Amino acid sequence: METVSVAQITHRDAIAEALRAEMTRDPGVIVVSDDSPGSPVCDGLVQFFGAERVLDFDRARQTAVGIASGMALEGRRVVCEVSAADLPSHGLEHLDEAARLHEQEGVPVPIVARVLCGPTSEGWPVDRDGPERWLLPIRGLRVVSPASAADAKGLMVGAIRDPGPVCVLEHTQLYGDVGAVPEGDYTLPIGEAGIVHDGERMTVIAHGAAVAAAVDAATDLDAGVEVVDLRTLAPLDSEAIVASIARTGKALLVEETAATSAVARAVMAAIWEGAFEHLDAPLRRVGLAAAAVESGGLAKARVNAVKEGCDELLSY
Amino acid sequence: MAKIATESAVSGRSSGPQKTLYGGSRTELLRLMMLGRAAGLRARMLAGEDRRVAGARRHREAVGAGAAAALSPGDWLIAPGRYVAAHLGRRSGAVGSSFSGPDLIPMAVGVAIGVVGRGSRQVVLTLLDERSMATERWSEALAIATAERLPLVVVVERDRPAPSDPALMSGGGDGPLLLEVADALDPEAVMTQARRAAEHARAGRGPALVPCIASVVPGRPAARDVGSRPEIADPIELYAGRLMRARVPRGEIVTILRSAQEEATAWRP
Repeated sequence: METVSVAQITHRDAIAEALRAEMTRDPGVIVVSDDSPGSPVCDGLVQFFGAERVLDFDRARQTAVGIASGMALEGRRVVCEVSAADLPSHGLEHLDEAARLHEQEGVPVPIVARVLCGPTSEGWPVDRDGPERWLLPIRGLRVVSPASAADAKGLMVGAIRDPGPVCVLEHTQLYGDVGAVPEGDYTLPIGEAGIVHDGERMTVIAHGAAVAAAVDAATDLDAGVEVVDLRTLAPLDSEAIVASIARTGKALLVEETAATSAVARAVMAAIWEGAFEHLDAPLRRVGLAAAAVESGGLAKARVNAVKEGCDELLSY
Repeated sequence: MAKIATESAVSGRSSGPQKTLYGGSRTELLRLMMLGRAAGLRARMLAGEDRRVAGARRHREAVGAGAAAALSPGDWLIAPGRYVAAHLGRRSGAVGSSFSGPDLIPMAVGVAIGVVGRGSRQVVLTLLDERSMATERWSEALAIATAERLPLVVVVERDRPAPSDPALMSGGGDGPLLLEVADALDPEAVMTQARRAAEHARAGRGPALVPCIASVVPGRPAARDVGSRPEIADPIELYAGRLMRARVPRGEIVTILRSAQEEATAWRP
């Protein structure tokens, strides 16, 4: 059996490692950075790869995604960065256009948009609706949401190698989390969910920063709770969701943002279409944004919110 | 869309655009304008749009055909799909096989950066209407194109004879080359100025703007007033009349217009 060496590094360093590895492997990979303190992932890249491959778009705050899309059309693989709050006015329509060109006309548009999600400048713990509400309706746009450092590396590498536009949701509150990350060439396929906690009595479905709360709740309860980490939000891995519910018969959707989020709606649609006959209890949804606001952002409150949802379903 | 044809748009030959127009090239411009109109109308009718509304958008045929004729083999065209004649002129595929976004200048700037990065002498041409200039992104993208001296040609369709805000056209700094077309209904005038702009950009002297002024009835912003009777003269009628005055046989013109119409009508999505 092949042994894979791993390193204990932070989520942020895992993303940076993916960028460095892909830029080394493929000279066509370009990173667009505004080189600001808010962009720690790109620190040091320009010194290593030069200004021709790490473009400073400080003067293109509104057009960076559009310009990056154009460069991708011209044959580069471009990684750019945009904050979730700025997305509607700073490039959403260009991602839409890139997705349409790739999906409908088969044109390669290899652009990766790192969408920074997290506490808002107004002090709310999270954007209560999340960028998913704009991104998921875009046909052909792939959206991934890594929950761990290893996934952050693997999904970023997968996104860079994808021929179409991919949005990587980076939950900035995860940046400091340390995890075991495979060294060397490591990629995760886009479109595949993973089971991160085994169980047989009910399924919890989560992504991004919500996964840790779901796993902690499942571990605390020790009651046969399976946790499915979606990893990719579009296209959704419906098969994995249905397969898990077929085993457990119950499902709780845990969202980092609101319980009525676009992801929750997509997952519910997948369940109605594929797992309706497997359900032994009504679907339940938990939005961690509300719990976080009520508790002042305490991690324990987030875990408790998931546990309450699990308890309700387990006793149904 | 757009990674463009290997043949000259108007002549159909592989030697690039011709320096002067004569005979067959002029009739080909007319054919392209008619094909663009008929194909656009056909597409909009298939999409369920009312014929009266669908037929109201004129003068884009002259701008699209003229701009496409200015490009050389391998040049990029990044234009909304409504400039059907431009896309057909660049042989980029079926109607609708084009960009749909309203704000394409950032993408055009990105393509131009890529072109320069490869050391290529290609030119990137984008077609816009003046609404696209009313954004900060326009100024930002144009300022970058100017500062980096990118090989970018922007053909802007305008309703008014002068820029409403010179700052919108300047792009900051020294600003791009400005080459105005007084009559957007004249495909030869558009082609001539767009070709000058392309040569300027190709020579590494930075972006160039070609505002094309559509003649409108005073007080009637016709480009937006799609629900009413068109107020803009028909560029195809104007150009056909011009060709007749240049002694192109009337029968030949009628045949060109009819065959273009039939070609578009026969199109199935």
